[in-house]
Amino acid sequence: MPSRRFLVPLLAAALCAAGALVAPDARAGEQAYKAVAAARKLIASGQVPAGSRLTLGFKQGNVNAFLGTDLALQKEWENLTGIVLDVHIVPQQPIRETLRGTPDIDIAVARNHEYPDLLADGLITDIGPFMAEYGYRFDDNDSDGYIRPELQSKVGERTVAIPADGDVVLLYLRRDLMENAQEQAAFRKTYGRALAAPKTWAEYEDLVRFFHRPAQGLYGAAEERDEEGAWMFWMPRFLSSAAPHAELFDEQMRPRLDMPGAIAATENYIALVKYSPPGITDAGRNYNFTLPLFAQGKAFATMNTIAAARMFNTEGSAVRGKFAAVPLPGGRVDNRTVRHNTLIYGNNLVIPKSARNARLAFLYAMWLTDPDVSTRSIGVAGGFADPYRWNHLRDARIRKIYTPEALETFSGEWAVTQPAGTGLRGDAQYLAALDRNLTAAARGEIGAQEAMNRTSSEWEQITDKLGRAEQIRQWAEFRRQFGNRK
Amino acid sequence: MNLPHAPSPAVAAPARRSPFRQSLLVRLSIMFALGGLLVAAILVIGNRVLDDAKQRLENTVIRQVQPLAATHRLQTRSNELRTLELELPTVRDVFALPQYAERMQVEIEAMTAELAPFLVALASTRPDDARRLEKHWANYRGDLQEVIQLAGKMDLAAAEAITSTRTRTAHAAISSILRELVSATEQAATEAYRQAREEQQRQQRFFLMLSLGGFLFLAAGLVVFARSLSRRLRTVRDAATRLAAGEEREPIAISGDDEISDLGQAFNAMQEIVVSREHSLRAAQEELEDRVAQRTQALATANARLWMLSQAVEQNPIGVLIASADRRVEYANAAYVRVTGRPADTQLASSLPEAADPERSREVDAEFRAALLACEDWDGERRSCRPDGSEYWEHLRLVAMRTEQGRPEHLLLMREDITERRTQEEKVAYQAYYDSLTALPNRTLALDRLQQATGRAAREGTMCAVMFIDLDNFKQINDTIGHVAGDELLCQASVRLRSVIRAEDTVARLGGDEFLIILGVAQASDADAVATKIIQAFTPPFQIEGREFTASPSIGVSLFPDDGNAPSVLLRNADLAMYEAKDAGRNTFRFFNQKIHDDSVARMEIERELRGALDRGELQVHFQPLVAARDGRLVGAEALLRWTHPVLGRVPPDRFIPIAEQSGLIVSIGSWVLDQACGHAACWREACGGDFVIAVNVSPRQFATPGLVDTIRACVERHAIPRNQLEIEVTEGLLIRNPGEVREAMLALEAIGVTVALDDFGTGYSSLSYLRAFPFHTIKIDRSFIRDLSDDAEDCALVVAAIRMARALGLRVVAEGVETEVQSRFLAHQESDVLQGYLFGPPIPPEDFVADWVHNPSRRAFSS
Repeated sequence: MPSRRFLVPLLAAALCAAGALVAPDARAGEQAYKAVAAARKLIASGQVPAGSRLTLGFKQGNVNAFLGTDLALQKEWENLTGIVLDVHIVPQQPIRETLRGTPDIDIAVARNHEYPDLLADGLITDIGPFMAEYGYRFDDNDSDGYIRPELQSKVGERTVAIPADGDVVLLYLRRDLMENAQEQAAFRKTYGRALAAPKTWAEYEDLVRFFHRPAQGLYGAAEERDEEGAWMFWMPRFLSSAAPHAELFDEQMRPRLDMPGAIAATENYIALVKYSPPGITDAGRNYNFTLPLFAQGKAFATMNTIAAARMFNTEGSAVRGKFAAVPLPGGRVDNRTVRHNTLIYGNNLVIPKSARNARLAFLYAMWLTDPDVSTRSIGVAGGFADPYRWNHLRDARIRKIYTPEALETFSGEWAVTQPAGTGLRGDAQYLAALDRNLTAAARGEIGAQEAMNRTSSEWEQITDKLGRAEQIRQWAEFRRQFGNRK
Repeated sequence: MNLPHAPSPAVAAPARRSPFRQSLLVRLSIMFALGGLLVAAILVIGNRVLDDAKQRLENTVIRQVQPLAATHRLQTRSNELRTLELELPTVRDVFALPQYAERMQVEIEAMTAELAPFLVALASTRPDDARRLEKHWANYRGDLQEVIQLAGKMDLAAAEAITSTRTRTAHAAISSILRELVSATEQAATEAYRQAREEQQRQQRFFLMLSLGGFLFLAAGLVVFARSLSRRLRTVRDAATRLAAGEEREPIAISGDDEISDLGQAFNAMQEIVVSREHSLRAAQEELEDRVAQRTQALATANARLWMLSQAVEQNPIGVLIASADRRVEYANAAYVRVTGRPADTQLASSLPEAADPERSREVDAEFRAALLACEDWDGERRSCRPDGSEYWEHLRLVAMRTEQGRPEHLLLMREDITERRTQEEKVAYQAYYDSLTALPNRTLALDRLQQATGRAAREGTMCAVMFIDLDNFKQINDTIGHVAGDELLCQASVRLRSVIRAEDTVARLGGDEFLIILGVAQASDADAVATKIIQAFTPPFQIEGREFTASPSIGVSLFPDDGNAPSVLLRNADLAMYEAKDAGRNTFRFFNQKIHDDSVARMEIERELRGALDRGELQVHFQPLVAARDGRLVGAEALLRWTHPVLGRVPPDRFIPIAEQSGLIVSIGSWVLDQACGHAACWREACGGDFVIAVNVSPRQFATPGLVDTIRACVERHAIPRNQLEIEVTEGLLIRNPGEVREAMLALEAIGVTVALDDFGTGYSSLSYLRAFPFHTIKIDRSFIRDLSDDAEDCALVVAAIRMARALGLRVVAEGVETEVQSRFLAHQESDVLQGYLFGPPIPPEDFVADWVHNPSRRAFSS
């Protein structure tokens, strides 16, 4: 009977050997193996006491995705390393508030646009040194690499997060209605063109207008107009309002919201309210309000991440097999279509500055986001995290959960995806001002022009307060990340 | 002599044994075999009976418990499903709905799998209940599937409508049936259990009766056998008793032909041997007893030592905890509880209790943890927190007690409350670096801060300013109102200084009334502004003991790096600049500059040259005549020091004497002047008719040096100076500094016939109380009053008043600086005693004085 000290390495070796035999790619499993080996080395050297505890600050919905069904992934990590995972369920609020109030978290979940504020406030760790020390890099090879890791992991030149989610925006339409011959005929008669997925935001508005039939219990659009996160549904419209892409500020950090394209984007954002269900602009009417409407067949269109496809494809969904996830529309600039997407929610992993076991937390995150391990993590029906590696898109379980068509659109949208938020220190303040004025406009309290004017004014004040010179430097750094990938 | 091993005839020739004799072995074997068979039979029967009863009871229990357990599991699963379906409509995030739906589906399948065999079993005993339960579960499952469908549709309102009506009814019906089943099963179980228990008790009674009969039979057989043995064994026993008691030792006779008769014969043989060995055994016993006594004594000594050591640990004021290698606590003394404020844990934890300052203790805690886990020796100090919230410093020492092979066997943790020691150390450190009066940093800390400030300024490319502050009239105030009030003034001054600088700058007290300020500045004008603020801060008078005092500061400022890089240089230059401020009229500030530096260098040059001047013969004593005012007759001379340097030429006295005073050279030079003056006076006395007063200036520094009076006494004796013919001239400044000691010295001088003159009278405070308090013989009116006698009526009045006052006090009056005949006549008219000045002659070398005055009688009687 072998002793425990031999049993664990034997088991790990067997697992690795099994992984090597069944894995589709030679590198799959290597990332996890390195992380486990490094964790064991830390324990053997006495740098980390055996049986140490890693405190994970996850939101309720993250638990299945990051720990597996019936905590299978948690048990696997604990068996391999002896490091105990202690999950603290943190409230649904900006992670900045959570990290300020809960200092003993070793690893937490953050949204892409939150990174600059978290870094500026000294709340998260620069993991670049760890990456270098352990020989890791966020490989973006199309076999099993991360998808556009530079958008999900960096602030300027500093690496601050490990990608663990892929929240680009998709447009969901009722395919059954669009394929209906009578509807197609009626649409052609009204608009003089075929009923098809919209290429521009104007076409999108036509489609929504056409299908808006509240008397029949069908609303044209169920797109979120909640104040919190209003920028997420405005930003794609704005980015595609100029070629090669619109910019929020000029080189001196003067807001560029008074440009005709910005006003048009805002008007399109506002225009959809009248084709939406009543109360769409009320506070708290987020995706918990819009997704059920679409899932119950009461809306023609909605916008959300790839996660919505998983929800619509659930048994019981009224639109299962009847919906289509299509690319976002674009803007017409100089007789050509400019399309841009952006990262919105996001559940990526950051290591708080106050983490007691930062090194271990990093190794755990690298293990969790390994091609193999993460495929099992994403292939969970009730998870929050969505595909973020290329091999996820080819996995049979994941394709069954999300539908191959939605994953195909999702894969294509990454090429036109731009970094999230403003990329600036003070991002939360900038976006809050934008959200507030967009919502006031959506509620009809002010016009699009006024909303942009007020936002510009408030942004100027924020910039002056934070120090224009430093903001100019950060904006210049952020602008360099823009551009499409083919 | 006995032969201990010689056998007796009986022993030597044992009786021949019958080949058929019934030995004890045979008989006992037969008896035990019979008894064993009996016991085995009883045990086999009893075991069968008990097993049967136990099996029956178990079967009864199992038959009833299994349905109960299954019913309970079903109830639990049903309740779990109910909980899930109730929670589902309350989910706040639609992305979490699939989790709930998935869990519900899993529970439904588990419930179905669990229910199927249960229903089969139930149908055989309670078919109606089985049918009802199956029907309600089918309804409930259908409703739940609908809820799952609605969850997929994200229609939480519809789901809630079902969970609040239909599923509630279905779940209640299932629960009700399960409860009924439980109740019925419990009743049946109780009855079956009762019957099984009665059967078990009956069989137990049967077994007990059987066992009792068997044991009675066995006991009777043993009694008969025992009686036959007992009688013969008693014979042997009695003989053995006698042998043991040392009584009759005759051979015994035992009947029979078995082992007991053999025993009797063997006893007889043994008896003989025993007697012979008794002697040797007794000797051996005595030796053994000696050894036991020695061992007992050693053991008692070891025990006493062990007790002493344990008491040392128990009473030790240091908390001691002993744990095994696996960190299980085996002992903790009373002090451990006292130090930590709580009982020792049963396990030595790898982390220390709560630290008063977790941030500063992090490193110590990590070291401790590492040492503990590695079973290594370690010690360290940390500030800890007791459960009652009190904080204390403790010294922790972890010692691994190892076996001879080096394997850690125990861990010894000592925790000592060192709060008092740390407090004392902090206090000592504070006293070492802070001035106890003003609580400001002292000179040591100030120099350290200055070092840091210059280092920081050098790194950052900025400047820093050093301000040397001296309170202008502190000494006067201190002497006037006493040291306590002087201390209060220093405290108030420190508060004012503190109030005009920033928190990051430093105010220090160097000693006495000297303060130092260290500022970080961007440019020299910043220091200028601060110095101005300090001057302004000292403008309001100080309120001390209900009185108002004014104390102004003189400030010298040096700048880093312009005025030096080293702290000592900056401090010295600020000090020099402070003296410049003093010279500029006080209550002002001066920046260190090149002139100050040059003056300082010049002063140092003079001091260096002055050190060898005496040995090189560059110093000379000149003499200025003192003449009687009444008739112009020579009455003595004042000895005056002069210095002629080969390069510098003739150095004015007012330039080098203050330096000599500052450097202390004045002590040796002054002694030399005194000796020279007295020596010449002794030579000239005869030629001058026996009366020749020699006046010698003595500086305050000389007075401060021990042994001045002895030096003067030795000089007087060496040169045989008559009484009242050596006069020591002192200034008022001397009187202010150490009035008590000076008065004693003057009285001692008076006792050896040396008179004392108050020099430069009228220029200082000219306090009449000095004249009364000190035993002066002469006052010398300063030349500044004499110079303007002919022009200034006020000076005339002052001189006349001084002469009158001296007359009234019985003092001799010498007027200095007499340059005109008019002055001479006026002073003579006012009855001044002695005149001195260029009218009569300048200070001249001794050889000229001899030629001009001592050997020139007509000159001696110049005015007569």
